[in-house]
Amino acid sequence: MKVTVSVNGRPWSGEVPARLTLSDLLRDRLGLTGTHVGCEQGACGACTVLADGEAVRSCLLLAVQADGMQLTTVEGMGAPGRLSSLQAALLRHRAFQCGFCTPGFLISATEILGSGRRYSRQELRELLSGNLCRCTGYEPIVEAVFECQR
Amino acid sequence: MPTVGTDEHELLVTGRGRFIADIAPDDCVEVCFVRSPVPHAGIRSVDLGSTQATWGAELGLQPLRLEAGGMVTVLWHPLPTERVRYVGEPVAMAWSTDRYAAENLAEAIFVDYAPLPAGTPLHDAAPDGVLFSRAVDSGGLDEAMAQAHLVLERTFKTARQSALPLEGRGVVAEHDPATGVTTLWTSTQLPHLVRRGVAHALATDEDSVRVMVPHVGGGFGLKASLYAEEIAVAALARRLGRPVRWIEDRTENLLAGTHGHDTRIWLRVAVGQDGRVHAIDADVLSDVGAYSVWPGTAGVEPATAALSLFGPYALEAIRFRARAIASNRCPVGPCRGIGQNAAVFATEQMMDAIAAALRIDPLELRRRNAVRELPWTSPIGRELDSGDYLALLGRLEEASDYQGLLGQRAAARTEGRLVGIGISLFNEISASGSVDYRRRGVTSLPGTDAARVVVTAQGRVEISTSAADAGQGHADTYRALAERELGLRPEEVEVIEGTPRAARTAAGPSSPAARLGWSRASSRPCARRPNRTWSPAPTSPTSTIRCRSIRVAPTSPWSRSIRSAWPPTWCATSRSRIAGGCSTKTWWRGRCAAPSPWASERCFSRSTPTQRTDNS
Repeated sequence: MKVTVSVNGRPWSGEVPARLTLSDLLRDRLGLTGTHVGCEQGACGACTVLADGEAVRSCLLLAVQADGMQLTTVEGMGAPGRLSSLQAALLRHRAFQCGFCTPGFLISATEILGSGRRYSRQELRELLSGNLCRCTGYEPIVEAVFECQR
Repeated sequence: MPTVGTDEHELLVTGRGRFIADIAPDDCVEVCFVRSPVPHAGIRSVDLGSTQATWGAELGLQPLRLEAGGMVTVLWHPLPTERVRYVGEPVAMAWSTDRYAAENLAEAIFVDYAPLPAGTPLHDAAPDGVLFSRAVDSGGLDEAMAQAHLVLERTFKTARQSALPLEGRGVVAEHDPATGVTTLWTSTQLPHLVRRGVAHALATDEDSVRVMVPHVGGGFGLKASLYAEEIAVAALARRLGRPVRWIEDRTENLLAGTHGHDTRIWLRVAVGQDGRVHAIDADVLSDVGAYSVWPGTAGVEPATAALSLFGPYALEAIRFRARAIASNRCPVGPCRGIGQNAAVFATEQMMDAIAAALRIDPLELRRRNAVRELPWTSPIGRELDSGDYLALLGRLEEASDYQGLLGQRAAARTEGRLVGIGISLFNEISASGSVDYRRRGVTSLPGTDAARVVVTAQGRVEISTSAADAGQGHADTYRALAERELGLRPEEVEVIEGTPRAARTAAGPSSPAARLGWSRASSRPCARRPNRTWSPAPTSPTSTIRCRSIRVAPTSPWSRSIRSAWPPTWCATSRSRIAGGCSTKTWWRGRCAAPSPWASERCFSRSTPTQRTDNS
C-alpha cells in the first residue's frame, strides 16, 4: 500500500505492506533508528513519535495509518553540537543512563511543552507516566522538563 | 563497542546511539526462534517446513558443561534435540529478509512434542532435582538455641522476577570465511563470557570469535549470561556465509531472558533477653529453573543469600543449608542483588519480629546487634574489613528525625491510619573476581579484568577496558580517574569498552575490578612496556589498526562504529584480581595484588542503612 508522510520536515512516499508498523517503517526503511522499540505493546513509550503534533506509540500504529501525517522523531529535534533546549536540559540533569528510553521521553516532553501550559512537578509526573525508564528513576527527567517550562 | 568520547551523552540524547537493533549489515537475514510451548517434553520430530529453517540437530552445536563448586554437573544443549525443559526454550529457527517473513516461516515449523508427566526428573544427573547443595556450620548452634531467652522461627519468600531491561537482547553475527573469524555483536554485559561460550559451542578457538558490544539499553544482570540464541545465530552465520540478525521481542524477553530472585529462606534465631541475636539457623532454597546458566549460576543465588544473612550483625554461631532446585521454569541468572535481596529481606523482617516480641525499639535493636569493632570475622569466616555501622545508624536516626517519625506514626494510628517505620541495615558483597571464581569452583572463566591505557602520538589517552557498559557510566569514572592519576582533561581521554580484543579477560560489567584494573594500569603505565613496537594486523577486516599514530581503517558497512584497539605501541595491562572498595569483602580481604592509592579507598562503600515504610 502506498504511504506518503512527512518525517522531520522531509517528504517520503513509498509502498509498504499493510502490516508494517510505523516504528519499523521509521527504523528499517528510513534509517531513523533513534526511535527505539522496547515492548511492542504500547507500555514503555520508548517508540513515541509526534504525529501531527500528537505523541503516539509508533509500535502500535501501522505505517499505513500514518498516511498524510507530519511525523517528528528524535532525529528532528537537534543534533550533537546543536542540542535543543530540552535535550540540553536532560543532559544537564543527567536524566538518563543507558539512553534507550530517552528519545521517547524527549518526544513526550515536547508535546507537553508544546501545550504552552505550565505544569507542576506532580502534573509532569502524571504526564510523563506513559514513558518508562529502568536505569535512572524519574526525578532528573521531571526536573529537566520542569526547567524547560520556565 | 561504543567508543566513548566526551560527546557520548550527546549521541544518546539525540537518538544517535547505536544499540543492537540499530545494527543491520547489508544482506543480513533476520531470525525468528521457535520456542517450546510446553514445560517438559521429549522432542519426537521436527518438520522445518521450508529450506530457510534449522534446528539443533542440524547445527551440530557442542553442549556446554554446567558446573561450579558443590554443583551437580549437567550438560546444556543450546538448542535441545531430545528434550525441552521450560516454556520459551528455543528449539528451532527460521530466517528471511525481515522479521515479518521470518515469523511466517517459523509458524510453518512443526515440532512434535511428547509431554512428560509431572514429577519426571529434569536431569538424569539430578534425580532429586537438587542442582546445588552446600551446608555450613560454625558449631555451637544447639547450645545457643538451648540457652536462648527467645527462639523465633519464620519463613520468608522473595518472588521470581525478570530484570526487564528496556532494551531486549539481540545478536548480529557475521562470518568471514577468508579469516575464519565470526564477529558477534551482542547486547551483553559480559562479552568475554559470550566469546568463550560461543567458541566452545562452535568447537572453535576463541581467536575465531570476536564479540563486540554496542550501546546496551540496560542489563541489570539479564544480559550477564551466555544465551543459546547467541550461539545459534553465530552458528547460522557461519553456515549461511551472510550476516544473521536476531532482535528479541518482549514476549521472548519475559519467557527466556534469565529470571532472578526466586528464593525461600527458613530462619530460626536464638535471641538473648537484651535482644542480642546469638545464633541463626537457616535453610535457603532457590528455584533456579530448568538449568544453571553457563558456567554455573544455580549455586549463586542460594549461596549468596545464605552467606549474606545477618550481614552487619555480630553473631556467635551460624548454621545454614543452601540448595538450588531445578524446575520447569526459565533458568535463573544474575539479577540485581543476587541473593542479597532475599537475605536482607529475611534478616530485617526477623529483626522487626524480634523487636516486636521483646518490645525493643527496632532502631535500638539494630544498634545492639550491629558489628562494633572492625575488622570482624563472622563465625563462618565472612570478613568485614571496614565500615562503621553504629555511626550509620546514628546518622539515619538524625537525618530521618526518627523521634519525629515515631510521633507521626503514633498520631496517624490514633486516627486509624496504618503507618509504619521500617529500618534496614545491610552490607553488599561487591568486587567479585578471580579468587572468588576459584572459590566457587568456576574453572571455565578466569574472572579477571583487564585494562589497557595507550598514549597516542598526539598526547591523547585511549583507555580500553574489558568491562561492557550498560548504562552505568563507566566512561565518566575512567575520565575522572585519568584526570586524577594522569592530570588529563576529560576531552583528552577516549574510552573504548566491551571488546575482548582490547582487553582479553573480564569479570563483570559493574565489577569494580574493571575500574581498579584501569586505575592500576594508568598508575604504572610503563611497567610492562613490551619490547616490540609494532603488532601484526588483526584478522578481521573491520578492525582499526593502530601503529604509533598511523591508523588504517578498512571500509565496511559497520566500520564507522567499529574501532578495535589492537595491541598498541606500548601498553600496560592490569589483571586486577579484585580489590576492595566495598565495606564487605567477604572472601577477598588482603588479596589486592598490588598497592594502589585507589585500592585503599572506600569509594564503593555500600554499608548504607536505608529507610523504608511498612505497616509494622
